[in-house]
Amino acid sequence: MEKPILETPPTPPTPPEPPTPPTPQDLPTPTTQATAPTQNAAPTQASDAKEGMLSRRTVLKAGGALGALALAGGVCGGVLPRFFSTTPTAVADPEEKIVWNHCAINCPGRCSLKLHVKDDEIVQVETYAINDDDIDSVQPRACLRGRSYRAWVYDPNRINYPLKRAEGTKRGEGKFTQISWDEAIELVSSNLKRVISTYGNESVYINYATGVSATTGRTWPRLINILGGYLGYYGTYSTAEINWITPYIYGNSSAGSTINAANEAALILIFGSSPCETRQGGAVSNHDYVAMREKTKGKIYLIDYRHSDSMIGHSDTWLPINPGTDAALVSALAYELINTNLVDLDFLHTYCQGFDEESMPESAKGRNLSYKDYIMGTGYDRIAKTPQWAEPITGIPAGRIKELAREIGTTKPLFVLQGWGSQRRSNGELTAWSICMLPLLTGQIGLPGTNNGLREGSYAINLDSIPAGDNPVKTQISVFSMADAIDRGPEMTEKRDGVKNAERLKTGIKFVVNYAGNCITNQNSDINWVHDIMADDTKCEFVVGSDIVMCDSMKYCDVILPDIFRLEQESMIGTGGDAAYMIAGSRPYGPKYERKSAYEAITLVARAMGVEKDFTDGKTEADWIKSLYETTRSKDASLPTLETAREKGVFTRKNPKGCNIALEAYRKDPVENALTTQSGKIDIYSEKLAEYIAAHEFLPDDKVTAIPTYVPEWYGVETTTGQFPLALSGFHYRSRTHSSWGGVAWLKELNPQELWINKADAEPRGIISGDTVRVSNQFGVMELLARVTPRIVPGTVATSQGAWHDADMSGDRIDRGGNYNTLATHRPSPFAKGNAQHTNICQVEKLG
Amino acid sequence: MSIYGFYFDGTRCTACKTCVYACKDKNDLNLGFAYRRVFEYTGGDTTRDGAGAISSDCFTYSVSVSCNHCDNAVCIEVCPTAAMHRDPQTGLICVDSSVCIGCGYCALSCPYRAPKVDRAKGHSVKCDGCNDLIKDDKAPVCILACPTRALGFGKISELQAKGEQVNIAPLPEKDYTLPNMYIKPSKDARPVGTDNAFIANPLEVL
Amino acid sequence: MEHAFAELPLATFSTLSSLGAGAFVVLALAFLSGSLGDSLAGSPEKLKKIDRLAIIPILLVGAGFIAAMFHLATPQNALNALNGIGRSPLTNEVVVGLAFMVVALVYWVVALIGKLGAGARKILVSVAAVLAIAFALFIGIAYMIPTIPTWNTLFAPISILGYCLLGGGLFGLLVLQAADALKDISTGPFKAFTISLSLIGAAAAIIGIGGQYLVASGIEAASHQVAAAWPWLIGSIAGLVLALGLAIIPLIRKPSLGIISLGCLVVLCSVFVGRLVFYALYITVGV
Repeated sequence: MEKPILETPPTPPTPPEPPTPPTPQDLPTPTTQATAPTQNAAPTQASDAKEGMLSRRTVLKAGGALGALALAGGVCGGVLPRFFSTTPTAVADPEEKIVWNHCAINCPGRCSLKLHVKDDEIVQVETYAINDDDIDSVQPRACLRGRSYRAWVYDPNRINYPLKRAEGTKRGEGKFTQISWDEAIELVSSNLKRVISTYGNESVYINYATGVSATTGRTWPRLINILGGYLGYYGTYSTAEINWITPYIYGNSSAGSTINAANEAALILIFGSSPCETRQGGAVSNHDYVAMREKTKGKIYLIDYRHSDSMIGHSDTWLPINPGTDAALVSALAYELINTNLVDLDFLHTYCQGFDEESMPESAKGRNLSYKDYIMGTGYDRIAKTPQWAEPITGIPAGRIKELAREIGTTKPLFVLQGWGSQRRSNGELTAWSICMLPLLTGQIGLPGTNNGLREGSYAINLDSIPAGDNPVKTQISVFSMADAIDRGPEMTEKRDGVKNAERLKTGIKFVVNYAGNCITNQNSDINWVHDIMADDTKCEFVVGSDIVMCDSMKYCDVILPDIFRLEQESMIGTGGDAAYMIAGSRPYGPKYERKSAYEAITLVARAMGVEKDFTDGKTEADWIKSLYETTRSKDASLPTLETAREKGVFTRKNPKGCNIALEAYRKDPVENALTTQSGKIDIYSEKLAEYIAAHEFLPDDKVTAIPTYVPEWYGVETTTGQFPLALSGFHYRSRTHSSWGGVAWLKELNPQELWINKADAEPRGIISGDTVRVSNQFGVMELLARVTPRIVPGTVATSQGAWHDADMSGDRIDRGGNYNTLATHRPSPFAKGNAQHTNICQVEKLG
Repeated sequence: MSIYGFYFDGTRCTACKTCVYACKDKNDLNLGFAYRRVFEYTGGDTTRDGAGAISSDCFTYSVSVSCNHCDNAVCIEVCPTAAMHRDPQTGLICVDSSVCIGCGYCALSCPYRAPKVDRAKGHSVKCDGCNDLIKDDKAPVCILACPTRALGFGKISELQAKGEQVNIAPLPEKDYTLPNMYIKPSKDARPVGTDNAFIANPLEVL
Repeated sequence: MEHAFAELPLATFSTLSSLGAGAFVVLALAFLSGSLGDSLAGSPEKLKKIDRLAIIPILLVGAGFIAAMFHLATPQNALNALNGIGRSPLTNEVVVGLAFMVVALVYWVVALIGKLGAGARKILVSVAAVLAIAFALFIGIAYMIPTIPTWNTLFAPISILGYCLLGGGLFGLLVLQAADALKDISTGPFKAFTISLSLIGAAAAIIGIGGQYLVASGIEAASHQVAAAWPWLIGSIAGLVLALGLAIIPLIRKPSLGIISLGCLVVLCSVFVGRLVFYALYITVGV
């Protein structure tokens, strides 16, 4: 049950005074009156779940007339023809009109939204669709989240006014008072000025955030760069480890094949990915994978600790494996391939460096440092990576590993793909690298039906985005290190803590901008630890946040600026999967309450800082959208005019090559098209990485190597303890994009927060499906429902990430929202200093 | 008799529930109501032996069902007010909300869980095949919503050419009501009356 | 037992209506076989009292109908339920129930205004009795839907018939005793018929709910519900046996209002619990 966040109620609604008129001319006159009826919290999941395995039908039938009243209590008004809350507007358009726009949350789907708008309200959300029987027609159909936009746009947790942290309260308590825009801008700009002049620009940080995607969606960096810059970051929460290691393997040529390249494959291996769940739209991997699966003659294996939804109806594609052990499997497969002479030595010697002694660089010759030495046990730990060795680690029977090696060795084309689950672990860099070994061992890259072992690539329309300009501050930290840099910034060094372009940080972070992201706490790790750091306002002195809804991270802000959805404004986005598309969105109505678009809000800050002209370049956001698009169009004449784009809403384009094949050019001619790695080849042994290792400090259990090896996780299947005997992992959820939509009752109703647990682990604990369970480890405790299922391997439990943190932080800190990150470690990965978010162990017990 | 029916491709469905929400949005359904249900049907076991080797015969498949506008519709048969009726033009089974007394007889009888009494509205509600759209020569909203193109709708004769009349677990034997839902079953599909499998997502279906 | 508690209005309706209607079977027996007309020929006051007190079972049935209204989402349109006559078992049930009420009310009103002759009394009450039995059977038949395997057996109407005869019998005895007329007719064929009625009723009730329970226990998907309903089933059957005893005692001993009232209370509760068991065992062949 979510606690109301606005515990200090806003002042009674009155018609707003006209806001300080912004210079952009085409913004609408305010049309809203702040008289929205409040919406009661909807009946929660927990009460239904207590019925356990019983048919939902009975639970909701119970209560007759009284039951109806309970549900009706969640219905706003009851007299309104449409049940979501509406705000009366001064300028109402009685005719229903269609307005195209796009989803803009962190998912490359960015799917089309066909908004039915009436009386300045969205009354229905459809999508671009063609009623044909052609699975190849490009239709960026929105997923269930897109179809639930009304529930979110009208969510009672939306932020309507500028807010400041209530006097006498600490960050994290979530108590705010309403203030005017003038006061909000004054607070932000005066603090920014003060911090910059006191500590320098390196003390300013724009936190990682992915809640908004559009060509003009993220403009804080532009402003702060004009003001002298900010401490930057490298990496992302999605790809920290894999993106760090990829340049060492492939240089800049890292784009994967498009999924449809696998149509030609005879064997398809997919590690740590659920394409149907991570990108659910009708023209990205959900669709592309299903289409490929239908067309390919190839045999598919999804190698995963969980029978994901990508395997539904195709359960024979599941190859169950213990989480975090992909590299052990690959090592054993490599052993078998080498042992049975099924490796493509010609390929390995021509295109790669470091497979065997013969292909090692001078600097590493004669010391048994090749990959083959590692695999066969003639070097490194001197353990032969046999299938017998791998069996207890991976959970895959040795015989099965041998069989699979035979399949890999004798089946071409081989298509190997990994998602980003395998790399988001403490051994992530080396795991990602290991998986790439599979196509390399049998020379299956750069050819039809092959991939480079990384994530699938896409054929996309890439639109120019608003330029951020140069950041005068060159120093960077890992994307995962904000809390560290706040807590002990000047102690962080390049050698040990991943500081880049400086020997150490000069100052801790003193000012944070958190726009459209939930990574302060909710999507971060070790929430309890981060909370304590953020709550101390002598460390970080000011946090300005901006979002559409009061998510957990917003509670840690000192000032909040209310944002609007991209679909509530003019917006453009380009993207693609197997095919490309672009969406030109129009505005359905003006901003309601006192919300402003981010561009408008940041312009006000720019004005207060005296740099408005530099920031806007004299352009309104609409001007920017137009000029950026013209720039793109000048490079790609086949794109339609802006007017046509807006009228049609959606523009699609198929890949003229049919599919993209990774490393095609390199395969054709490795000399002419040499890679940008140090060796010019694909590095299986990386000299550059060896140098990096020598020059940096690592912890003893981070067994770093300059070749892809298997390293047990700090907290994983090989390192469980008596106290925490189960491995704990996470996965993406159908009803959320990370934490976006996480507070929408409509979606929560049919998508409960559940812990997947195998019968073998549930029975001894007396747990059945529907029980509330407590999951705990050294970092925190969460409670959620149990789902006892054969769809997860024994010894591991998992839950979907992104649930909204819901704990009494001044009390027992037990997270009743079931947010996985309450238990996630905040120790950074060895190379990327990234989030090893799936590396956890825990104990599970039944409650009550 | 019915003219139209639904088509479901069990080899394409990934149980995302976009169809459920597209329908909820179009019909403006509050919490507690959905005209479509996506069942996840799971069976088998995933076990680990003493040496740590994992083996699995686990299977899971999904079925998305709304109302099957059955030829032998039990809801029409039992309805005391004749509110449950076939639209004379489209043959789709709809509720006449001005006549319905909300007795719930249809809800009890339907083995597909299609109708339900909405006490706030005072009558039974269910999928009507987007009757209004069909009359306007458009397709039902769920069909055009599915990101993996797993749903279809059309004249029954067309559907019979594409798939088989639905007769898989956890749905009932087709002979009870003669449903106009034709499917392409997935490899994992099990026959009606399977007893070593279960509906694994009871909290996700209304 | 969740299905049961979701159907409280219907459980109430089927309990009160079958028991109330069933009272008229005993009253008919009293007027036809108990030589009530003869032995009380000199007690027109007692006959009048019986006529008047017959409002009790009539009110019971009325209360049942009101309970049924609570089950409907739009009770003001309740008369639409007559549209499905012939096709819908529910309509048929409503029609017979209404017919019973009409006859019973005619009897009571005509008696109240003093225009009821002995012959008319016998005819009206007998018709009401026949309609009561039909009503009870139709209530049960309405649940015999092919897609609900735990209800789609003859046990459904048999159990309600049983409640009607045993429970209704007790309420009929209540009316007669409250009019102080029971001792006058507690001899001769009336006693035999009424005891038989109670025995048959009890047997039908127990066989009905017991049989339904057995059918349900053979259905794998219902096992959770079957287990939960077991103590309620036992309670109901025990109550019915006790009610049977309390129905027979007044016929073989000196009748007492206290015993009969207790019997009415016990049978009300037992039947209600039996109905809860019935609804609790609801299962569909599908989802």
